[in-house]
Amino acid sequence: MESHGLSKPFVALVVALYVFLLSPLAITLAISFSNDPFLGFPPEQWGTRWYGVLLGNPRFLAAFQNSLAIAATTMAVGLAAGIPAAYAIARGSFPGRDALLALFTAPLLLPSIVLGLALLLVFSQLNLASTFHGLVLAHLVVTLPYVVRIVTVGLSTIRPEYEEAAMTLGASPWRVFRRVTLPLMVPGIVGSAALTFLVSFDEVVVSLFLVGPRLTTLPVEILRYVETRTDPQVAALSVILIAITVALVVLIERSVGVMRALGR
Amino acid sequence: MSRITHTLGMAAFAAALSLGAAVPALAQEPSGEITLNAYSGIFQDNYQAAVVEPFMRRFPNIRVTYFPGQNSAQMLGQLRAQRASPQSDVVIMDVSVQRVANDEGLFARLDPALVPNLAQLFDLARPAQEGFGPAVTFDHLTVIYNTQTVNPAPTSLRDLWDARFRPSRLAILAAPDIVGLAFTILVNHTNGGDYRQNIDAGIRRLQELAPSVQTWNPNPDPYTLVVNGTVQAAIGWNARSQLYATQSQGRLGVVLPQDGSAFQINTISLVANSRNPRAAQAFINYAIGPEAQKAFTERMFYGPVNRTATIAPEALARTAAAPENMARMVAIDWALVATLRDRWNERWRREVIR
Amino acid sequence: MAALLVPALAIVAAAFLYPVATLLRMSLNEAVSGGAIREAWTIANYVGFFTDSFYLELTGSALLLAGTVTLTSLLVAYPIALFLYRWDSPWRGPLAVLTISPLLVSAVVRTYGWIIILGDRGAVNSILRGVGLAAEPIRMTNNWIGVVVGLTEVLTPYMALALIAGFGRLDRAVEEAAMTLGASPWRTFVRVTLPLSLPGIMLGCLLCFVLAISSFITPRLLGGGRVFTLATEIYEQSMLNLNWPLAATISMVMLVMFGVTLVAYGRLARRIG
Repeated sequence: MESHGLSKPFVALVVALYVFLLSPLAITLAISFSNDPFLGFPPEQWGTRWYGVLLGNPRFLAAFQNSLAIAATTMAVGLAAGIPAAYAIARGSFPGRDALLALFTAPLLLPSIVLGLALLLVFSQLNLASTFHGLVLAHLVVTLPYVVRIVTVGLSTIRPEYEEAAMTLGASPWRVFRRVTLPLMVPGIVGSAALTFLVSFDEVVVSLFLVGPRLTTLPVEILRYVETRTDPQVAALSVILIAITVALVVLIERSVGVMRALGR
Repeated sequence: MSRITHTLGMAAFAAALSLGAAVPALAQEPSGEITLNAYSGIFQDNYQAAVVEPFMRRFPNIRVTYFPGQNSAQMLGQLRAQRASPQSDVVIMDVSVQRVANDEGLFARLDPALVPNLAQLFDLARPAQEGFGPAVTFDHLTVIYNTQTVNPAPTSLRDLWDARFRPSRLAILAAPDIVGLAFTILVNHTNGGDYRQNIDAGIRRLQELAPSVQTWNPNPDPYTLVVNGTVQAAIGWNARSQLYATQSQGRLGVVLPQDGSAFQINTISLVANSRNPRAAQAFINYAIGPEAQKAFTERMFYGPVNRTATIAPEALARTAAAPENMARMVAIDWALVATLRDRWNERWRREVIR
Repeated sequence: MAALLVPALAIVAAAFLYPVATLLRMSLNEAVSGGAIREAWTIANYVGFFTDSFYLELTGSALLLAGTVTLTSLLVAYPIALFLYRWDSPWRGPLAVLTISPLLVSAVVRTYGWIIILGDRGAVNSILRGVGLAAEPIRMTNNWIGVVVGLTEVLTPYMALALIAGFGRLDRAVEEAAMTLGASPWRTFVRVTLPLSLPGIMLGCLLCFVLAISSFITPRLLGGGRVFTLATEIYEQSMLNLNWPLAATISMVMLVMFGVTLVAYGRLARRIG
């Protein structure tokens, strides 16, 4: 028996489980360097042909731009609406704050497929289906719970004594917020901003109900592509997306720390 | 009588137009952007190359965006959701679904002055409902098989029930897809049933096929699965089958089943409340015109809808229009099928798919 | 202070409460053949759902799928979480991040990866053929097995997240103390470690079960059209059959199932915690 109960068979089992967990990503990386016109492993020819095809695919490029714009707008509006709400819940003294927090978190519990259908019903009446505003609104519902939750938790870990001390020293409430509270909130805000962006950028099921001829998102285009064709182009695209995501995560880790950013 | 003279007149008018004579019939050239909603995959690739791009070269002021849809039903759903402000202008979809959209007012009637090529259509291609969109392609159901693993080749639908396809050697697109519906009608027919009465005989027989079916939802499509050997045989449409047969250098074999096949008609329609009906109808006119019909048929082997299109004989022989092919078609009243579709779909899901 | 809540409340009201109310209303309408909708106040759709053996079977198999996937995710994630809890190394943190990192990659892409791995011409069958274990490819896609494997991998990071968080609250000294007192490793695990990790297990199972019940992408891409879940059924009815009232009804049934699951979880958690 080794120290800490890490016997060899146990370590071997854990290694095998990691192989299982990471195999789809590893195989996607490998197949993206296939030059075959179809999906098969191992590829008959290796190369970067599909990266070239991908870069010349205007549909993926247009969808990528849409998804970026939607994610950025969702992030901006989500923070603008979510931070004040979180502040009111954490620092306010009105009754029913727990209920409010529960209400803001409730959309998380709604299955995406149900939310997608519900939004389709409403948006088709209001002419919001397949519009930029409609998709942003849909993504806001999906991401707002994260913002409110994370920022509220972040605020609850800031000791009110700091704010009170600043107040006693004669600072105005706005000045206290700007100089004391806000800087302490930064990790939570950055974390929820990143999460909002990533969740919106990856959202597929709700969007599937709401995209249309003039507006489609990258994840939906990827799903459509996987459903109608079998070639390694999506693998090449996935590798690029994973690289962007990793870069983003590393950037956040460098600036505030992932775990801290997620409010844990 | 008057109808014939009218038709002749229209034909002459259209001929004059297509000859490039300077006819100042249209007050102004249509321009702007339109969105075409039609099938995805290789249909899109070939339609874009054979029809959409030549059209845009002919009408440099019109930009056509091709938005692919999964199938006709999904396109109908989208039209409904966007009823008040539609995002597409022209839709290519199956005739049975088009009928529903016509009845719901989702499609608009065409202006014959803007779509003069209507006069050149075969009778079968004329709009089923007066004034609405006409047919744009003809196709028929085929049996496809992998020529390297299947020997002897199947010759009829009946052969799919052979023990050699068990287990899981087939790919069949289930209802409500049109393939599933047409297959139901044919199987029902070859087993002595009449789909207008009931499809009990067909459903019973399809149940027996279930063990041979690997997938009821072939991804990305049945042709690819046959070519790459995932399944040995499948049901498909002639045009795509022919294209894959050529592309795979004969690895995919195409059979017009001896015990019967069925026509499939794609229609082209103008969306009601389109933002640019002029450009949309210019496109429809071009799509059913001789040039586009010739190009698309020779490229993808859909049967032409235009009488005046001169198509290479070797291409025509591979389409539904070949006389020996026409003889085996089982007549289907797609308008009636549209009303039975939901019920059949329920039966498929409950009794057939396993 | 209350004014600060207005924007967020407006979003939740417009794009959450109102749509869900509309969905409930839609489930009481009547579907007419061909996809038309007749306004009505009827519970016929619900009666139809609960008296139709097809839907009851579908619900049953969806629950079975969700239960199976929850269990397999637990079996995959638990050893990993236990390892991270016991491993005394500076690499523990990075490895924990690696464990949940698949969450950053879309489920579509990961399912696509499984198609490449499990397909007839995929990696597993290539290896089996290469070593002469199977002349014919073994079928692992277009069926239940493919969906279970794919969904397990898609949901394991959630389970791992809950378990790691749960283990994080435990003190490693507890295990060591039990061993010092002479308990065998197995006994230590069963009597000490496992009970202490129960809250994490329960949270992980709740998360996975709920996500599995509403899973859509993986069954659709790996199920070959024969693995029905409530979610695929909602999509099929709303987008392909255009029966919005029925789709809304199934959505409502799903929401009630969610509610029941949450209440049951709450009760259990209180009893254990």
